[in-house]
Amino acid sequence: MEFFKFELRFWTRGFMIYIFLGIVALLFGFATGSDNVQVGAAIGNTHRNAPYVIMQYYVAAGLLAALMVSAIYDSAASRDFATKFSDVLFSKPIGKWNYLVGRFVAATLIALIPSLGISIGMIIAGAMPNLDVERWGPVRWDAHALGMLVFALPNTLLVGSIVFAIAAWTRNTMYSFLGVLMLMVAYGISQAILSDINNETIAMLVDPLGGAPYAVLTKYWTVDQRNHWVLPMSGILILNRVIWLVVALLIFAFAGWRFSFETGRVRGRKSTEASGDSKIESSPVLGEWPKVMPQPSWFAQLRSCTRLDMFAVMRTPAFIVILLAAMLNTSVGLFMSATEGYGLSSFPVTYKMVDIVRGALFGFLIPVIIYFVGVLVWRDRDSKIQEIIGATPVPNSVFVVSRLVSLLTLILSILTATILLACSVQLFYGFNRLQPGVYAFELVLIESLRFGFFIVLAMLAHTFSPNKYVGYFAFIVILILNAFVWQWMRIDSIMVRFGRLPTYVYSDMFGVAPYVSGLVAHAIYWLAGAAIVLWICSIAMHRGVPKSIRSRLTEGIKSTSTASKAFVGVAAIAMFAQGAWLVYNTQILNSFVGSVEQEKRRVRYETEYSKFENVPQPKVTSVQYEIDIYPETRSMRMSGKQSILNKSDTAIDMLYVNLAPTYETTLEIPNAKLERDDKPLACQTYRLQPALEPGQSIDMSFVVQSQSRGIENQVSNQEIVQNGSFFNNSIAPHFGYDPDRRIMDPNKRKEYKLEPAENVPTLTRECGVACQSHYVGQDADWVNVETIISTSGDQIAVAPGSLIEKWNKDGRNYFKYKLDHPSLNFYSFISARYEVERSKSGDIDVEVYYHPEHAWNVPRMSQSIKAALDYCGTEFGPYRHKQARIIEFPRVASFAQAFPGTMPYSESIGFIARLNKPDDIDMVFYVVAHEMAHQWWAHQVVGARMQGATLLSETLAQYTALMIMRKEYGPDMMHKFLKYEMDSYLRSRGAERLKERPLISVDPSQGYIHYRKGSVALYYLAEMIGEKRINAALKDIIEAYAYQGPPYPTSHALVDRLRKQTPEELQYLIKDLFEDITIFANRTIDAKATKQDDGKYLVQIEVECSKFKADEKGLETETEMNDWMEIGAFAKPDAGKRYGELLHRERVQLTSGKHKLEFTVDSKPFQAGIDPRNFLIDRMPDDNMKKIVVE
Amino acid sequence: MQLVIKNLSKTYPGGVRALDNVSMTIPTGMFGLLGPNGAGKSTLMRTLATLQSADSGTAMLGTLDVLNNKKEVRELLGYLPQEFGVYPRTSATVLLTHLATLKGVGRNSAERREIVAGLLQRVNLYNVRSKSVANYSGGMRQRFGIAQALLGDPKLLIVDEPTAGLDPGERNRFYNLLSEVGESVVVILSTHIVEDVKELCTNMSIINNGRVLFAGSPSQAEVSLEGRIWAKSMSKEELRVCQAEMDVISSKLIEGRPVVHVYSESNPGNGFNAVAPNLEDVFFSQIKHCSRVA
Repeated sequence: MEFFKFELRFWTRGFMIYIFLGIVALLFGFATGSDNVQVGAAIGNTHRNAPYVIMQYYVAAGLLAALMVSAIYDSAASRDFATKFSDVLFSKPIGKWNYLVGRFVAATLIALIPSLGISIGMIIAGAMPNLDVERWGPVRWDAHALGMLVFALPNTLLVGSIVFAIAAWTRNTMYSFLGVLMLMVAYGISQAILSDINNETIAMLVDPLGGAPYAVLTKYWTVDQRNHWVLPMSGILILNRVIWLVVALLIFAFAGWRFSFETGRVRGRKSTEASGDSKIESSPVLGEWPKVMPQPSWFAQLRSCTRLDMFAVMRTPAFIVILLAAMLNTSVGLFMSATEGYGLSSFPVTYKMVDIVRGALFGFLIPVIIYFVGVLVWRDRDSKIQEIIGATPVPNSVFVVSRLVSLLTLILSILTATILLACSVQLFYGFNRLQPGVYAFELVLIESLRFGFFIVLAMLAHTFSPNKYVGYFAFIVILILNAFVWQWMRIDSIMVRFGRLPTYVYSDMFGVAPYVSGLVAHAIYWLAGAAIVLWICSIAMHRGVPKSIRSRLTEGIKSTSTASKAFVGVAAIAMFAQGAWLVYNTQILNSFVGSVEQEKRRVRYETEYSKFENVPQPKVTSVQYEIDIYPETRSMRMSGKQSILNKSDTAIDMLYVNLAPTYETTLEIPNAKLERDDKPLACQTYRLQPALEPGQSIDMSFVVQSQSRGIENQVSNQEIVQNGSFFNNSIAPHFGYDPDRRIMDPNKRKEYKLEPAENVPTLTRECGVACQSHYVGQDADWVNVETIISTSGDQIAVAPGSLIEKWNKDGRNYFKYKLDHPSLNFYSFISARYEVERSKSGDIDVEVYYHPEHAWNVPRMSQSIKAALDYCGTEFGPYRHKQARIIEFPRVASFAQAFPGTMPYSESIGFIARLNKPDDIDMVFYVVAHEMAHQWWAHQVVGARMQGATLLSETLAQYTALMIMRKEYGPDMMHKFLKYEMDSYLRSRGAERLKERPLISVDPSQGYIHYRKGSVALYYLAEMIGEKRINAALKDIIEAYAYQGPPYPTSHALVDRLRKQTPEELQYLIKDLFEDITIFANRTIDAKATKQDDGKYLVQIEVECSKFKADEKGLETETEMNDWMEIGAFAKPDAGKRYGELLHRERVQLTSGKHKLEFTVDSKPFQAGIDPRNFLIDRMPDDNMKKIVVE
Repeated sequence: MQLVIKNLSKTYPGGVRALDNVSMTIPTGMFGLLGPNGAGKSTLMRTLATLQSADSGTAMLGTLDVLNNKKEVRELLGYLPQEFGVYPRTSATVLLTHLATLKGVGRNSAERREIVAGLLQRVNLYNVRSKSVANYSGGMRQRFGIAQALLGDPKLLIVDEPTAGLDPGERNRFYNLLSEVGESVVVILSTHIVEDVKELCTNMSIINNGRVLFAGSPSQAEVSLEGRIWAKSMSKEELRVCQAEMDVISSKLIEGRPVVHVYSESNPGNGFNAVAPNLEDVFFSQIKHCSRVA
């Protein structure tokens, strides 16, 4: 009891605990209140202080708190030893357990205080004035209390017991720290396991901090549930907590058992003293050692200092321990490689390895560097040798440079080791395309610059601080300021952010070519800057006795040598000159717009131009392009002639033209007078005199150019590059008010006092104006396109349509392309050094243009194109182009997109996917099939610009791809695939920013609905009514709408046709799947089987089913059902498989509630239940089947 | 070569006058700087060792301006601070070699190795040269300190309270070493132990409260008090009376009874006997009278 009170008093009187509390409260207060600091959860419609957010914060704080907590427990356990008070204390008659338990309980109470900061911060943030009431719910005391109880308390006890045990046992802070690190590694591993959805149960149990079970159990929570529910009702969370609580107590008990009051292992301290001390000559004779006049050499001094500094870092247990943990973490990351979605991995290409190293290693490395900069700067003082060292004839610059060099050397050796590790992993996977150059550039060159700047800045913070702790604090403050203050001050230039280099993307196609000049220029600027900072550190260095910064500076300046003055002079001139040159380049030659300014412009665009939304504008009917791409200089010139036609029934006298912001455009429109040239918004208003009468057409021309001019703040145009230029015709001028330029985030709209708005018009059956244009672009229906495109002599350029002619002039390649069929005014132009794989499908050319080093999946791509051409050609209608192309583009973006006859596909996805197990989902095949399906769904039938439009394109493309895949790989593969689709749909609902809509009125921004839910819904429908009937409906749509002008179809066109194909008794499906948001909760309560005399088995099951309808916020209400449900049984699965052979399935009509059912199967069943193949949207798919008890 | 200090003053930010117009001339040989704790000795030493700057005044070593040519001074300086630590987990050889490199001793690493080995032998640490200095006993560490101060044949050797914490044997050995070096260079030894100065130094100063109270040789100092120091052994009660009435310089216990030394121009009688003044009397009387004046 005495120890308990003493410990409490010790901490409550100190200030550390209050600082911890303050930091946590501030952090989570800001996270709750501000959009700029994000710790995780409160996105979209979830309340900022929803119970779900509270819990998320308590989970997220686990790791953060672990560090603070460890400091407290460590001190509680080892303070008496560290201060040598133990000798006094333990000579008193005190009980061991009394001592330990008292200390431990008190430390636990104290250690919980920082966690209170979460609640305090959140509650204060919620009590601020001027809050947006819609984004805040009531204060949920129950959630705060449970957060404390379920997460903070057990986690504190766990971390605490580990640290306490290690500290009490080893009496060495370093090892306690190691314990916490190991805990973090365990956490990291549970996260890694979690990425495969089949391992969830294990992951839920191994996460020591309880985050994994919480994440898994709440992943399908809707907005409404996030706002109201506190904890998931599941035993597994409790099990996890109990397991780890028991672990904590066991560790503590073990520590207590091993603990002893004896001062124990004080290593080798006394042993060395005896020898050598005894005999010393009474009259030593001096003058025997060589006397040499000192000749101090800067380099020799630097070498010696660097060696000792490195030694000081490397021989520290902390360094070794952290390094080992970092390497372990990195190895796990490298071996797991990157995932590509659907549980797949990719080839371990070098740039991925680099990204993994950055992600897994730097989280350890950066804190280590921060720590050791402090250690080195204060080392002479801390070891009390500063007076001896200070009196040596060593210039300050030696010390300063030595600290930088030694830390950089260490970082480089770690990086080198990591690179070797990464290479071994590559080789281990049989991947021998090692790219030493990429490693050297990204991890050695770029990172030593970044770390160098980082170290220099940290040294500055310490130089100006009176002691080490202030130094650390000052540096962290600087880092935080540097991260936030510039944006807050609306300064977007990276020239003010110390050590910041422009961002760049490495691509196998162009390397880093577009970014090199910017990187070099900024590196020179910051190198000069770093030299100046180093100089300041050197003149103001702590040397000799402690002095104020002012006297250090004045003395330092006074004693500056000429060489040193020259050095800083040159650096200052270099920085100034380079800075001036950069300002000239980035702000005069080029310009950049900050993010806030960009938002303001969008607001202005909406307020000033939206009134023209329904003013008729002409439509483009045909375009002829002449495009010259100059990859070497990253420039491009596109000139176009296009016919525009007034398809409306009124005369058009005003033209509203949108231009591409990063390009320069000149327009020539006959009879048009420029009335307003709104440069910041890149839009122009022309008056036509005479007006363009209905049915009248004119020819206009334009020139769009892009030239890279010197260096930019950030490379703005990543479309025109040295190899892999990829741009589409949206850079050409477009007519009419473009609603897509509005700000759509509802919260941002509120901030700018804009009325709430929908992305696209609400779905209506009778649509007038809205059906006059389609959602892919409003200024054209179907256009003819002809292109002459040229590029450098070693590149191939591709434009839409068939290649008519190809020639070479002045060492440049020219190509002429022509569309074979009028298409959407939406296509791309591409140029790179390609390898081409050509084949035929009937008389259609199948071509894959790929980077020569990325040939792995090319045959699969052709195969998928052919399969899609077959399937769609047979089922829906003819393909109208004479070619189908897949074209690889650099990883500045990672998507695949369908243009007429052409499908650009990013190098970062399908091209590097690694499919090596037979049961891997063929992601490459799937994506290609999806894009191919778009040749029908979007490029033949395109929806009106209205909600539900993407049901006609994305969902149908998804359905088509699924059918093609099923044909290729069989239904089992599809179940695996659909499991991911279902998971993705259910997970994304809770993060909805707008309103969750049913499929029929899906918003174009709701990918999780039109892709993921679309897959699930249509696959189920196909299962219920048959693929044939669906395809009949689809064929009918093609016949009605393919390549037809306005009015464009809405989603009703599809749903009506599907309804017509659906038999009477299944009509409810159309409503459930398309018109409502329907969720099931089905489960099997009991399953047993009895072997009959004929050798067959009678299976008896009891199932329970219920059906819910959700509203747009996810509020669910149960609804009566009388649906056709599938029941069935599986045989015992083969080793490693989840399900065995499907022995039986039948469809029965079931109402809500419990039902007893029976059927017979021929061989021994293993599992039985309801909806065996998980067709229905159900948050707990795993309880559908139950293991059979055979009697 | 001699070190001439003129009008050196230093006031700390808190208002403490650590050096108040200090002037002294220090010739070659051992020079003792005597003063109680906090007298300003360390400030003076650190100032001369280029670790601190003075507010005003000059210090010239021969023709070298000590205060403004730190680099040059450091090249010919050997300095043993009053208290010092070492890097953890670093052996004597490594640390001394490092310091030798910093001082620029030795033209190459072979020569440096030889010098370091020689020095370690001199201070009798050769046998424990690869042990971590941090684990040395006080005496061994002090010997390491002198070894590093002697690196590079210094012309100016400053040792600040070098014998604190040493046992008498170690102290003697240490002084033997020092006195040998002290023959040809300027050695400044600061201490608050009178014996040290008496035994070693040919010249000395007494400073207190930042001011020089006495400068000269120890014998001169003793002569200056000739016939003015009187001693008596008395009881503790007597001592109290005596302290109130007389100019008591010091009182020591000898065999449990206080023996009091008083300063008096004439025989105070009352059982006091004249004694030959020793350096300690000088020291205490100077300090006492100085503080009385102040």
